[in-house]
Amino acid sequence: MKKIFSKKYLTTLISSFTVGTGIILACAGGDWDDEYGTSNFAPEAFVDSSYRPFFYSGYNFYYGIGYDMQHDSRFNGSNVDDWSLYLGKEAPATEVEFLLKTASASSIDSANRFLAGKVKTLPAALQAFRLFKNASKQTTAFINYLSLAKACEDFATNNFEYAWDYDSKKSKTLTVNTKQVNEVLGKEYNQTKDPFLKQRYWFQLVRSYFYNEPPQTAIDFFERNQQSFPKNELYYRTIAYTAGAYYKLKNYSKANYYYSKVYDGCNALKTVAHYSFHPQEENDWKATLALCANNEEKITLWQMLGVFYSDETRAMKEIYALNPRSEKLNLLLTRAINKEEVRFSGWEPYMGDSKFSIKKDTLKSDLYTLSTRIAQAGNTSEPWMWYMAAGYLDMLTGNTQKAAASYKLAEKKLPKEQLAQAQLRLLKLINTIAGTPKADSKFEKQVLTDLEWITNGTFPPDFRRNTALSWIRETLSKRYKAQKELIKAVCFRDYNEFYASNNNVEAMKSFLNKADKTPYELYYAKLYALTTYDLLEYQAVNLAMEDKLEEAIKKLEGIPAAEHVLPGNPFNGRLQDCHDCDHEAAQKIKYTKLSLLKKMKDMEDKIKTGTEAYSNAMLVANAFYNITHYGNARAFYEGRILGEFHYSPFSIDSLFRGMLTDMKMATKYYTLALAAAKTDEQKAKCHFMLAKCERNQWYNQTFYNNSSNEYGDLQGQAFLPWNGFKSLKQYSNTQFYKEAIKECGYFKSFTEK
Amino acid sequence: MKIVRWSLLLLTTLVAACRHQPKPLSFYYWKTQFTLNDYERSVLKNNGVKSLYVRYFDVDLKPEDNQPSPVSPVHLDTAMQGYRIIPVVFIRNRTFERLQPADIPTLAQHVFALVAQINQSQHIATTEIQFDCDWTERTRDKFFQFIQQYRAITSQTISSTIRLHQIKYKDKTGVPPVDYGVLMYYNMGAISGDNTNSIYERSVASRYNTYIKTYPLPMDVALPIFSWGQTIRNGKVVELLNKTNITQFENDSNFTRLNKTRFITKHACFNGGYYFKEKDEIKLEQVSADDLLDITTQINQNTNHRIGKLIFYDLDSTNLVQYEKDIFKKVLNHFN
Repeated sequence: MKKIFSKKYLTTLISSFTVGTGIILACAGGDWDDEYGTSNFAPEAFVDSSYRPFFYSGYNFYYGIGYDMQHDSRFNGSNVDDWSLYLGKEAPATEVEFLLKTASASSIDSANRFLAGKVKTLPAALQAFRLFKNASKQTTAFINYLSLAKACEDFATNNFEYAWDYDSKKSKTLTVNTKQVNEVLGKEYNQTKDPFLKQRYWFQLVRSYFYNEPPQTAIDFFERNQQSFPKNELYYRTIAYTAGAYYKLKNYSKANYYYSKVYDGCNALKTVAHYSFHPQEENDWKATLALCANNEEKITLWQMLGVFYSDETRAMKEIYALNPRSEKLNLLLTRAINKEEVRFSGWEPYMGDSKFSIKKDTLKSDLYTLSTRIAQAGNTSEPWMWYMAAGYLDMLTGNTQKAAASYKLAEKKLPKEQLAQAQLRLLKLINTIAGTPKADSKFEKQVLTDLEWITNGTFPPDFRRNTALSWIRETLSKRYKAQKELIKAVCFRDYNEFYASNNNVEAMKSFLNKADKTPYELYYAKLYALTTYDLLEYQAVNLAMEDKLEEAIKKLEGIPAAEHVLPGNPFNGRLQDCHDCDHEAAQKIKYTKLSLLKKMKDMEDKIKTGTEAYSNAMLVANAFYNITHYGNARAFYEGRILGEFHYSPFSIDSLFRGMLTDMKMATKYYTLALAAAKTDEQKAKCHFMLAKCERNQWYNQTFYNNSSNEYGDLQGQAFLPWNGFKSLKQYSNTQFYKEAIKECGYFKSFTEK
Repeated sequence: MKIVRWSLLLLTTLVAACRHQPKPLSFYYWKTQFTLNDYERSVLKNNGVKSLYVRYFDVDLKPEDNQPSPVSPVHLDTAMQGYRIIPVVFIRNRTFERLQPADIPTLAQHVFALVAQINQSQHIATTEIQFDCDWTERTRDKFFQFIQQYRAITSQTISSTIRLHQIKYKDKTGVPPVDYGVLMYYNMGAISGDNTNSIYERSVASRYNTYIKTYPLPMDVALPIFSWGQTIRNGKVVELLNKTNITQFENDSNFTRLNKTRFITKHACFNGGYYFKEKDEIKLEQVSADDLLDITTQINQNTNHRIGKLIFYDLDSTNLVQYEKDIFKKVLNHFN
């Protein structure tokens, strides 16, 4: 079906010279991960699924479907069903579907002539159809109708096939003679005694008049005959075109009144009614209300206003006054609650998603006053929903005692549905946690079953638990931190500061290895994502960076990370660092995290005994250089605690940045190498390597120590005459010096000063 | 070829300036149904307007689509005969965010063909086209490539709108490969609901003025005569009220006037096709005649007399009636 009345008829347009409101509305919603964003309140638990597109969505136009794309296909299914029922059990549904959806207008015309005895053969594609073997009276009537209906598609369907065709966009030149078509449709309408066919011809005529005749013709024909037909889907399709005809005549009050009937009466057309419903002035709206035959019709209008124009609270007030038991309150309430949740949500950088928070707030919103009043009155059709909503609003503003009382009332009237049950259980759990300032053993016993459920349970579809789970973990982590129970704190929410103390790491290892954990300990141990191996690896890196190689080796031995192969030769030392070159270069020996440390340890032992002291010190220095962020073997330190893929020192957690960028061990061993150097070439190299360390250290201390420099310009930093460069000058006769001039622009400019 | 065309344009501009002849004046037409009422016709006649920049269609690549498509092509009628029409195509910047470079030639062909079809519907020929796109550093390459592709199809004059930020940050956003640009001297402020005017605010304009002189394109300038409103709810702008002006609210008892440009909603209601919740604030923005003269002064001071013509946005009697009839002549006389 074609969009009844598209907003393209509006002559003004917002595009380049203004800013579309969609952008503003979209941005106002905040950051979203799920479609519903930060939410603990599932509308699916409270509202009939026919309203689903109108559930509150963080950024989609329609919840669940995004956009309404069904303009031409909305009734394909029900058309097939209706005609199959009319044609009887014998009619194969696939044939009916083919004729309705696929067959061309000309082949239907031929079939019609065949059934009328005017031609002897059917079109090739239809010859095998069982429908045409001894065709029934119904089949003949169906094909006769279909030949007219296919002709009407010329003006009644959009050409979405080829968007760039101007003819499909403007009022196109029709190939059918609409006067003639209307005449035949009218004749069939008058002649047929079959109520099913009569209503279909009525629909075809109203639609054709809408497109091809003055709007009043469509209105008159609808109004004259509407009493004769049942209020089925086809009726609402017909009234929708009549509403469009009123709209064309600028009779907005009547148009909107009819759209409200469409909205209420036909689920398939709810979105169509939504984008067509459009009061212009307050008087249109008042006149539409005045047209209502009863309170239920007024309630529908108020629901439409509340949902379409985002004034849920006003609409609820009006509906409640008209009929407190109206189910149309439900959608409005969940939308209002979901929108209110946005005020209590924010960005949680650590988890990378949005989270909600409970904020003390004495300012009572209109929504709060209204929902509390309605909940207390207890006279709606679903009081449990109002108790739950009122309780949730109290809970969001920190009033957990009042919330608990409301939840208790909700529990008494709670339906058996799993989603409703899960919804209340979740809110109660949040409330218990929010309302208990100290997490002691009594509290732990009280919440354990629910915690296990929310973490590892199975849930009914559409249940919203992620926001709650995230909040629970964060909240309990903070509470345990405040209570100095750091193991629990880090299990509920991992945080890096914990690892700054080796005592903490040791305590965690003991906890993980503890054999007889209590049920609560078992629960939070499972929350913790790391293993003893991760902790040992982390300790090994820390020890290695402090040149405590023997101890580091002990930690690494026997854990999987020990065998992690490093991508380049960690003993390389270059004039200019080039990690990719080192990673691509052929290597005779591949080092793992463990074998590297063992090799370094051997070399250190040799340095101590004076065996090839220069070259061993140079190699150990290179290795210490390379296992920092600046070197080719960053992979050495990468792990689940220290992180990985650091594109700059800024991307390393500030807690670990110092350790992973520090040049002190490289400097220590380059200095040792210098002391042991015998030739000028060797000395020159040591000075240059020391200059590199000095440069990195200078950046560490003046640039990377301040995160406000993260998006600054590195090139703007001053070039300094490193001590290593100054010392290197005395070795201008060496080959290394010449190489350095060639490879290192900084050094070259330094020598030219 | 391009250089010759630029030189010609420059020459024409210079000659015109030397003779102190009034510069040409034009309008943007930005509605989807082209039709002129008597008031609009008289304004065009009294100001000797010969050419009109008519929005033909938008191009958008919607999130649910894979290829760009035209949005709301204009329906022309005979009223535009008698004017030189310059089609304007607004391309939403997000089109170039997602469009694959390989699909740019096809888009250029589609746009060219649709312009031709629209022309054909009224049996007119156009010799020029303008592209309006708020391109950014990220989309500049694709937008510029699109222009080049378009140039490969036709030798028509191509112009492009230029926003103030694109002038100031030309090193980042680049200069489009067009024959001339139209500087949009409006929409300079953020739509924040604060006390500044988002259409024209002198202090904001001054941050950009000094960069205009050195922008390496011949330039026309577009001036704002439209008004709009903003609905502000809980301190945030939640809706733009297109073509909305003060009279709509001052005669409606559901609103209370707060000051010269602001109203507050006393009772929730519909007005002008928009719905207002109780306590919604409405901020109305327009550009006064004095502001238009002030803008002209700014342009005189900052452009080395290199502006070719003035184009007002947009031709609509609801905008025009906000000003004295001779405003356009006044602005033009003030302009040198």
